[in-house]
Amino acid sequence: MANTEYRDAVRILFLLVEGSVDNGDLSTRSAYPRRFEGETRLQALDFWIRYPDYLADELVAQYEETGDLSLLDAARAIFDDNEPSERSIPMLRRYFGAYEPLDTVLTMLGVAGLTKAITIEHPTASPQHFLLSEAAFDLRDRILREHPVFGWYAARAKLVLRVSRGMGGGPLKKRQHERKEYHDARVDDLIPTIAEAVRAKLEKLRA
Amino acid sequence: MSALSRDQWVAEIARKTGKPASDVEALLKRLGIEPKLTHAIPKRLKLRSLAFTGEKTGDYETKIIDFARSGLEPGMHAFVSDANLKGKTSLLTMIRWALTGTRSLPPDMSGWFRTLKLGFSLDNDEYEVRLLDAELGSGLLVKQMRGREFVVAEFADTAGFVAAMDSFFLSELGLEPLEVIAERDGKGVDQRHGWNWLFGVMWISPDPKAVFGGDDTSHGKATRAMQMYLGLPWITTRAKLMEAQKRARIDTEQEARQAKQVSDAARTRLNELQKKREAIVAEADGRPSAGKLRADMAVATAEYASYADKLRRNVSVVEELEAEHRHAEAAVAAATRELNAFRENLAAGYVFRRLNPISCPSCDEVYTAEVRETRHGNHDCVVCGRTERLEPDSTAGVEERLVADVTSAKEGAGKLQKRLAEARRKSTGFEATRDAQARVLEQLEKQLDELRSAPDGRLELVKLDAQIEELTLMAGTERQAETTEADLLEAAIKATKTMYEEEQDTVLSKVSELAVTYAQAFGLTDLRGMRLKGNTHMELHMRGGKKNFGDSTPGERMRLKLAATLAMIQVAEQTGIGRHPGVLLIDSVGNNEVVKQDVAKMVVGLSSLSDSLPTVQIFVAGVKSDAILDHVPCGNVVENREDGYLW
Repeated sequence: MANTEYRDAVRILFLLVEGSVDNGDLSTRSAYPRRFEGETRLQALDFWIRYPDYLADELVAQYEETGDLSLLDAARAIFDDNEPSERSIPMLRRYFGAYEPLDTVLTMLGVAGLTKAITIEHPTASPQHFLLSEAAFDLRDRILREHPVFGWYAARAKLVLRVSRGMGGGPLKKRQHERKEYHDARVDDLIPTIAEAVRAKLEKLRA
Repeated sequence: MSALSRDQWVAEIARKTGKPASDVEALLKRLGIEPKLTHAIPKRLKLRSLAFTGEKTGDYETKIIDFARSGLEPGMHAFVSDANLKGKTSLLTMIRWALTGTRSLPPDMSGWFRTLKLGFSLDNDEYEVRLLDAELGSGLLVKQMRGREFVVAEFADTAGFVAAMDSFFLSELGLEPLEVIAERDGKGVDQRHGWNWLFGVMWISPDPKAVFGGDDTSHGKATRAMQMYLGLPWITTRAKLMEAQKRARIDTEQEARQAKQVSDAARTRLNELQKKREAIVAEADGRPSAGKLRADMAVATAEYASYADKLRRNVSVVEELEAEHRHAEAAVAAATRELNAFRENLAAGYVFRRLNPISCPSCDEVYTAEVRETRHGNHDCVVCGRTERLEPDSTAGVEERLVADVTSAKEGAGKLQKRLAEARRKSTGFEATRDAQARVLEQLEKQLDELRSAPDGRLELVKLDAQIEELTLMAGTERQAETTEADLLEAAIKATKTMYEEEQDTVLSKVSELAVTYAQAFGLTDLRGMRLKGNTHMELHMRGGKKNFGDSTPGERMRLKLAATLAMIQVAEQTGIGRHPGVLLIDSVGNNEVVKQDVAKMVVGLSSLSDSLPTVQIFVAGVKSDAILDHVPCGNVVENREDGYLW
């Protein structure tokens, strides 16, 4: 496949922008008014964008928990648009789950002054957050204006953040690990598709 | 008198029927009929005395009952009172009670009587019947001869009393009881009418319904009574034969009804069995044979196998096409992803290349304007400083190629989709045909099983045919009446009638002629002639025209009956043939429209009988009148006491 770093940068940018919160750090707030917390969270959210079948599965699960029909409709739309085939971007299974090195993408975003990665010092963990400048939001809007092709990524970013329900990276990963195929995938193998199983589940619910 | 003997009579019956005499004899023996060949010689009954005691209940001036009359002789006797209901009729009833054992007194006299005695003679034999306990009905019948009394019969109750008097008088007078068959609910019921019924000939009531006997004329009682008292031979034999014929008819009809019921039931059952037989035959005709079923099964099995094989092969084709289609779909998806990735990356590259680098990705040092300007001027990269070589646009034609790949992949997938749809359609068709054959096979197997387990139609038919044959016999042959016996009886009746018919007609002609004389003497002066027939019908030739006994007034009927009875008694006395005992009890002669002159004439007529019938005894009960007192010897008159009662 051709080099897709630029596309990946757009996708990650949309996730960072959509999933950001106010930057509470006074020292960096003026340059970077918003902040995305957690690379693990970023990876988990990106997994759901890159694997529409797993996202649909989570949507169905949350529908079964809550009865919210809009979740079921969103899951059906994923399969109606053949997204598991046409929109999936495989990811490798690493030690803790699906993982894609984002260094180049984050560098691209950082070089352009859009994001700045920071590591929070903590006794037990060292989470990495991403500060976001106003330029990141402006670029997001301009991309959407000038390149409607990326509209799908913007909408999908919103959807995965809704589905995440504010969970952090750890809980999200844990949630994703609950899927057997995800958890059982061998390290360094691509996470397998579960499209047929989710399609069957949707058919059953339709009945 | 018939000159034919018994054997000749039997022979005559046999000749008429064409049957052997032995059959006739057997029939007569079986029926217990033996002809009476001799004439009856009349015996004379004479009442000698009457006595009864008791006590009345109720408001009576004289309650003690102590009646006694003795020395009664032939001739006319009268029981008279000034008014009615003073015991006149009761005296006649007491006489009847003593002679028959049957008490028919009014209910208000219940318990009055203690004893009852009646002395009588039959020709020269003297008897006395004594009711020692009148209410219980116990007593004796004794015969008095040679200065002694011999008990003829002793009875302990009313039934015994009746039976004793019945037996005695039937025997003494040569009478026979009337045995008739009454038909009730299709069955014959035997009825016996004995002495008490025959006594009715001696009783003349004010409003008689028949010339002879009582008012019960059923079963030809009036005719039988007349025949009995006429005393002609063969008459009772014929009567018995007629009763036997009637019984045979009833029995035959009953048997025929029963046979019909059986026949009807058999016919109903026969229809059921015939329908069942038809159903079996139809089913056998409509049912396919085992051979045909097996042949059909072979065809269905071959078809099934053929389509199962086609399905199996087609399933492989479908599976291959499905796999190819999946690959084709995957190729479409991959081509689409490739195209999308190219386009998105191209657009994203365009976006990011236009972005100015702000700082060094390694040390975060911000690029100054000078650095930026210098590197741009040298066509060097702001970030790494390398010279940006202008390379030919490597993306040229890529998108077109990728679009073409997507199109090509979709075309391939589309073709495979069509082939797959066609293959699946074929599979569906083969499966449907295979399953249809499977159902056909199943049905055929079921039919074969039914055929195997169904009862053998041939055997069932044989059984049914046997039952049908038996029932046809039962249903078709309604029992025919036994004709042989009926023919014999009919011939016997006809033959017997010829034995006495002529003589009977002669006797009845004499009786009719004399009865006219007596009736005219009793006041029926308009009577010109009479014909009394063998069936007791009495035709009357009056001055004004013809009429019958039944068309007459009660008073006329009473006098006609009296006239006919007296005529019969006199003809019997003249011919020496008859059974009437010669006692008449006449009740309330003056209680109807008969005028005093007619009463006088009747009483005169009656009293004159003593000349021609010296042994006849007539007891008359009626309201006191000059006619009675002037013509009945005063010694023979019982009048009421001062209290108005006779007893």
